[in-house]
Amino acid sequence: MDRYIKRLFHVCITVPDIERALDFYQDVLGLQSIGSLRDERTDGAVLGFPGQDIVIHADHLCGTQTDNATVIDLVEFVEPKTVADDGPYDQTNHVGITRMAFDVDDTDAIYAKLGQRDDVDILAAPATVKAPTDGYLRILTFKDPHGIVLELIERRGAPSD
Amino acid sequence: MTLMTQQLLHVCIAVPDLNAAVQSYRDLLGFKSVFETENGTADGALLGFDTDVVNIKAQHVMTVGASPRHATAINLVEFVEPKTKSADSAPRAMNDTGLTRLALLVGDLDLAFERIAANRSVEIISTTREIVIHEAESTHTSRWFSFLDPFGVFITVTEAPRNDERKE
Repeated sequence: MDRYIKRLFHVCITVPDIERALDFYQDVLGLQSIGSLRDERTDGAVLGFPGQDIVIHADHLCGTQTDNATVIDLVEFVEPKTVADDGPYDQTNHVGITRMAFDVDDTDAIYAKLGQRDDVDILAAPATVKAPTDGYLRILTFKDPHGIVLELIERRGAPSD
Repeated sequence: MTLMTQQLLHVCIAVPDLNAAVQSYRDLLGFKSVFETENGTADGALLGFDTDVVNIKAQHVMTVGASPRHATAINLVEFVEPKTKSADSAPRAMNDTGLTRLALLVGDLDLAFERIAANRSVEIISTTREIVIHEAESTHTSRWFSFLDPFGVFITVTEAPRNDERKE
């Protein structure tokens, strides 16, 4: 068959307040914004709002590896507004996009930063596990300020690096 | 500020039937499996459960030709115990808080639309449209369409944008 897809281009996170979200994703996770839109008015059909214009704020975020990287498209809906009532899926076994994992340099350093905040929920504190292939992984999972389940994975050569 | 995060490693999609999901992502979208696991003792806390262990089956899929060290994988997971919960309401709207959408980059948007729209298990949300993005220094036009995959995941598809005009 034709291999017509090149790559996963971005993953979209919808948030109620983009500045608060940037505070978290940039300052805590250390991601950087590589493009920013404010009050962008666009055709809503592609995003499931046929026949109407939508207005959004958006930032594209990536980590230190930028070459052909899949970016996070952080979006605040201005018109219609972001719906915050139900929040994301409460459990990771709900059908759909439930979790994102990041490759990080230092899981414990980010864990220390999370400990200074009262708007995150730690699901599993950092633990070292044997990787399915070579080496070990230092893994932490938590719910971010929006309730999204995030996983941080640091690759280690030995269990106690 | 120190940049601590290197890259988005994978995005997880929970599905009710792993084999059906892998088949869809392979046959419909051209992904290939790069890692497979059946784990009856996966760490429950790590995945947000109250129980010590959960039973899962998973495959990581990537676009063909992608470098496993640099590309973001899609982690398709079937929960065996507890089972994957079905969608109990209408699909998520794009302005609902949380992870709402995946975007795929293709070489030929018209070919991609033809192939995807021909599959009975997907629902086309929007046929191809031109979207104009006005940035501070330039205007980009890109073409997009969108669909729901067989599990209700909202996916938008685009090809490389054109730079239309540069503002002085």
